[in-house]
Amino acid sequence: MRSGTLSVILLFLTGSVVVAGLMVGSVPLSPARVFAVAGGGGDDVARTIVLELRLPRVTLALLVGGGLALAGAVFQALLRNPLAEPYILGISGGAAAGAVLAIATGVVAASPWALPLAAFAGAIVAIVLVFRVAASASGRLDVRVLLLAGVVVGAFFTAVLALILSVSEAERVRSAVLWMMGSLWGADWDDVLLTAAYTIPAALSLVAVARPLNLLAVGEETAHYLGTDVERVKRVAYGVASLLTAAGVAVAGIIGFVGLVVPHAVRLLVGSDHRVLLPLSFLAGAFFLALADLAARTVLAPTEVPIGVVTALVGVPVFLVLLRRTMRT
Amino acid sequence: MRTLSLLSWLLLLSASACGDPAPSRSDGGPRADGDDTVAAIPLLPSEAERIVSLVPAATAIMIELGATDRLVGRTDFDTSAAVRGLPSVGGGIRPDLERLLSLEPELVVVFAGESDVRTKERLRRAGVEVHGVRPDDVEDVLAMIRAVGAGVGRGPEADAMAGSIGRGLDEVRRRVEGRPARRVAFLVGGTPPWVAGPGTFVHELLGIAGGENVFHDLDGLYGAVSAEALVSRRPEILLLPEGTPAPEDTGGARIVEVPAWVAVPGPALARSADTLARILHPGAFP
Repeated sequence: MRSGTLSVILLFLTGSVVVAGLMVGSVPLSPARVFAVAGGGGDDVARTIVLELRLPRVTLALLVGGGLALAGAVFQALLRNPLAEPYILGISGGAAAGAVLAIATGVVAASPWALPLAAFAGAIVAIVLVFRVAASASGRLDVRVLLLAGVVVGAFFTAVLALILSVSEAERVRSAVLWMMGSLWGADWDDVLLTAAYTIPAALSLVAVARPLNLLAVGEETAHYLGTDVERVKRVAYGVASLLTAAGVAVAGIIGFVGLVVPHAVRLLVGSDHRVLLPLSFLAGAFFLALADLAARTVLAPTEVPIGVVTALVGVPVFLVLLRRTMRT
Repeated sequence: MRTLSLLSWLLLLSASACGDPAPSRSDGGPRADGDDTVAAIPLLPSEAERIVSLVPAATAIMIELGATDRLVGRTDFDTSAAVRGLPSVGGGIRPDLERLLSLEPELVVVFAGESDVRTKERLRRAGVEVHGVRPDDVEDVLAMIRAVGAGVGRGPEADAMAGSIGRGLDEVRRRVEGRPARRVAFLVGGTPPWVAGPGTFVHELLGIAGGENVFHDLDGLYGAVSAEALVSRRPEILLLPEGTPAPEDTGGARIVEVPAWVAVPGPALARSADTLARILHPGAFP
């Protein structure tokens, strides 16, 4: 498929899911009421639901989904490993340990921001730890060591997490389990602003290293001889993609499959030129998570399906079909 | 499923270690919760006509006080016939905000403390009065009854209800007086089993009913205990709410199922104590 065609299709699909996300919810609002709100009028209930609940939530889904898919594509290129995804280098473990620590110590009661901040801090600790290990081994960032260090640090934090949970009070365990399942529940404009402030610059700087990432995919030595500052590119890619993931985890918990499956799907459709792959992965991830969230909050309303369940249930079959079809041709 | 049922059970019962001070509407922004431990629950600030209770025990009290007409919604856990016709907002923790706000409540009753800080903040921001209750021990339950009564304009009735519960508990106490305390544990499910510890109304009811909670030194309100601890504490009787799977090794303790309402911190508290006393000391009820 031509990348231009896919861009147009994805833009159309994303636009549609945004409109659907504003029109549809657990409370049936007539299109007329939603349009009245869009026109600056509307009744109070409709205004609250559309402007304070649905719109921030859809926007946050776009940002988090786009960020995860983009980070996944970058990690797959950086680690030259098709199994790479945003959480592979221990970020989810660090974030979850930070979040659960905040829940277990009761710090979360201080402010609605305590939990995302703690998760973010935990992710940063994991990122720095993994980076120090990977960079100190040989003076340069060895991606094999990076992968190993990431997996091991992740396992360590998962153990810390299990330890904290096993000695925590029931109510706190419940809060932690809810958080770890990942959700866009309760998203508001503060979340959106904070996430956008991270995601947009991060996404732009990652797209800016798309060409060097193409060369890296061929091999570090080749990239070096073709005039790429290999170490700098690796560090930028690792650092920025990690921060992007950490921001997503902080506001939405751990949402699986988006960062693994979406970049692969896009790659199957348009090939692996990162100048195309990265922006389209962002767009596809944004669309996919907004769609998954729409399903999560409406299918069984008023009960919410964990969004990770939707991303896996929808994402895996679609991906397998895509994989089969591409392999055949 | 077991985890889910345990979670939902805890949802019905538990509240946290930190209290929720009286809500303030003036700032509307986020504020610190749980900076003190509230012994008595403040009365609801004013009567409200449109109420949603996210705490099933508080809902039960409103129904009992004849204030069902003020309720405009319910949770999935409120299955009493009086409220079944009302729209549900999902669970009591992380409710469906869209549904909840569309019901235009003036007042939402929530679990006090650190749980679900987001729900409280979102509601306050939407201009809804939020009131926290935490029915941990018997005194909390009585305070919750008075607080809820004030909020629904049934202050005197609530006082009467609290008074009658107090008298009912005294009556049970008097019945079992002088009888040797039976060693007992109250299991709430889970693997390893979760038990009621000190600070819970269940613990107090066991004492009133002439029992001695073998987990009187548990750290926290409800907690998991090992199979070894359960056996080594040598309870004579293991109480569990209907439908709760019994542990495999009880160390010779007799297992007695109790109706689920016995472990609900609501208007039936005295009846709960009476039921427990009849199990522990059948001889006291000729």
